[in-house]
Amino acid sequence: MSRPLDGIRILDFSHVLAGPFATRILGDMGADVVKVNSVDRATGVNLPTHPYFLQFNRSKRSLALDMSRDESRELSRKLCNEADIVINNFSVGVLQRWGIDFETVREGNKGVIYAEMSGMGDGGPWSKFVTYAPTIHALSGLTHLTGVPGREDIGIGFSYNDHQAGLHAVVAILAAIEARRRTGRGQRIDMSQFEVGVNFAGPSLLDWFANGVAARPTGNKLPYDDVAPHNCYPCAGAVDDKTENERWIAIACMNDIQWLAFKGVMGNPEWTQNPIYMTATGRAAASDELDRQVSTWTSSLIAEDVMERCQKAGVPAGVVQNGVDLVEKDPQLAAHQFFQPLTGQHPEYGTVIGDRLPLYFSKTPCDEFPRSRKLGEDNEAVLSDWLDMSEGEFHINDQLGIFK
Amino acid sequence: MAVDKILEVGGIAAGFAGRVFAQTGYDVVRIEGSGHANSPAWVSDHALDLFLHAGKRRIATDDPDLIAALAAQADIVILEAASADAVLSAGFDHWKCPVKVAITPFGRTGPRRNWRGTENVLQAMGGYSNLIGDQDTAPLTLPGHYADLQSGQWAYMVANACRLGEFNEAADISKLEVVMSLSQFTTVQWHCADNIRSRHGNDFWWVCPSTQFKLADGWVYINIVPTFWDPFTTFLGRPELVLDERFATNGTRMANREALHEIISTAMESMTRAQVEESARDFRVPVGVVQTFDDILSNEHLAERDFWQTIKKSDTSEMDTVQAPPLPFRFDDKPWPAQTLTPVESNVTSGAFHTSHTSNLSENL
Repeated sequence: MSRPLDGIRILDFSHVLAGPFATRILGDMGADVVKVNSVDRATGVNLPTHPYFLQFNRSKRSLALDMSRDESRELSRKLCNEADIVINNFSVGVLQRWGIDFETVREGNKGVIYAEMSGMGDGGPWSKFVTYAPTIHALSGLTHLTGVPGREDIGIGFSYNDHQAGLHAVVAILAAIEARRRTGRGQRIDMSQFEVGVNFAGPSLLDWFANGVAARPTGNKLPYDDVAPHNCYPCAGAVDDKTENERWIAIACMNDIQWLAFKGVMGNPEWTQNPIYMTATGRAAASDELDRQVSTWTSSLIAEDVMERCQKAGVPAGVVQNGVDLVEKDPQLAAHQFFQPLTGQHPEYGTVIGDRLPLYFSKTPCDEFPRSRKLGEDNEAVLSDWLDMSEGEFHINDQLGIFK
Repeated sequence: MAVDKILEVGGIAAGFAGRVFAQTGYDVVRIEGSGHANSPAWVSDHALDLFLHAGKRRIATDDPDLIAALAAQADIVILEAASADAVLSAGFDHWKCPVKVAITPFGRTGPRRNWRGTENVLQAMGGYSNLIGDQDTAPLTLPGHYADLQSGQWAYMVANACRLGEFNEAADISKLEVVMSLSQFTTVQWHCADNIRSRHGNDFWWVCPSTQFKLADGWVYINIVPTFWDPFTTFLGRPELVLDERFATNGTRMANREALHEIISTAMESMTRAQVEESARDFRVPVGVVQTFDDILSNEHLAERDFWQTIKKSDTSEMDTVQAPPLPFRFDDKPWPAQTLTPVESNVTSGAFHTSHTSNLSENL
């Protein structure tokens, strides 16, 4: 199977989520990603049997190296010389201690692209801050934006920025590969996860900087457009034993045509004849009462039925889906085989299910995703492929005990 | 070597893909058409223009022949459309361009390929809304254009990967699946642990403490994964908590969540944001004060990193400028150069690309 990034070699010093997600995407698209891990570091979410690890470390090969050993560090330097890309997602200073910082690596590999993914970037007074996604959300303005009017304590309820940092790292790496293709020159990428968050708040920041308009939480309502209904509405409860009792549907009537269609879906109840609802401006002004009426209508209905009826009429609507809905019920995702078994049986878990790349090629399938590997499962193959290490040399190194 | 030419047709998702191309030095032409997909606005059009479209040439046209002709001159086309049928009627399949990417709410195939998907609908169906907001109240939408911006990122990635691999391809991107590509835990928790993830306000829930607390002059998010519990007790001024069995492990801290939150709330309510920042740095604990836009604008860390990019609002001699967040990474420590937002042009008939454009790609990167 041919894939776009076939032939690109990536040496992956990453952990937890952001870095592994980036290298997973690159591996999914064909790059040969070698994840360097060790017994000492394979703990918590970095343990190869942790569900986190299983998901974010597919499409890679595993090399176990005890980086406390000089022999391992020397081997790492040789691997860096063969890499197109080295990813450093460890704490500041770790790879420097191992002698594989950018300057050292570049001495032996002029074309290397060396991507550093730290919380705050290299330099600046906050560079030593310890960060996780929720603290980045707070620092970057995303928490300030998210919630309902009058509340300051509702933010993003999941680790959004970690994923986003992974995506941006891939964007940066692909841009750097393209630059190298043109100039022959490698470079160092300095990516700050804090700045990733600020970038995503960018449009609202620009409204403030350019227009003096300070965005604030508006719940589900749009602050600019006269659009109503535009909210989440409660529906009838569980339809089977796998459905949570709480069911909601998001509905958005973006224009008069959709409003008229939505009225039809509701059966043109008398309250909709109120003249205030005839214009978008009127509906937006009366959105609280409108939401109350729509909620009354939806509350006795099955969310999926409302969604189907709305969409059939051309009205944007979608059930607020949870994990069960997404994995087992959504027919669109099923038609796309969005969840599929990863290639190969995991030695401990057997079949592992994963989400595919969210894209489809017309000619070249990019839809095989090898399972994550056991710690050191590919030691010999990687060293043979990258360093042309013979079986005998491998055995000598193995006897030294560095592959752990 | 001539730089790739990018044709961008569509709304915010296509615009964000084009933004990355433009910022990294490609020759980007954007079609501003009345019939193209657009999204409900969480910010003003002016702010979106400044954020998305600096560094591009913008052409107003609905002429399908002109768009097809420009596509034939381009190396990459990014089309964002409201549905699979809209992709077809735009003529996408007939455009002669080596790499083409179509972005739609639900993809070009499948039973829902022509369903309508706005940001709130996609976040709901993709599993985000179920995680945002308080228990027992309405799920919330992340305010902004997350599905669009993420789709733009994927479009950039796939298009660039195809060019690097010398693949002539048409790629199909579903915004719904893009939304899901950034929240695997929702589905992993179900198929690995039969657990239905739900919303708990700002509380991350699986780690304790991991939520937001009131300060004397604002708010702070505290996220203490087990590694940081011991230094956190010192940060809190309550080192004796290390010996308190109620809080000995993450599991016991979760079981005694309310008691722990009360202790933290009491300690935090008299602290200021400045004190929290200083202590967090001293004790190396993961906490972050909730910053407002003014805080971010005057943030010393961003200033010292020379973070902000200048966007010039027009190409006239008397330009207004505004600061904008650039791409959140840099190459060889170089800040991003200024970009200009040029006016939308009409009556363009051909030759929109800079045919001899060799780009400042290598200077930017």
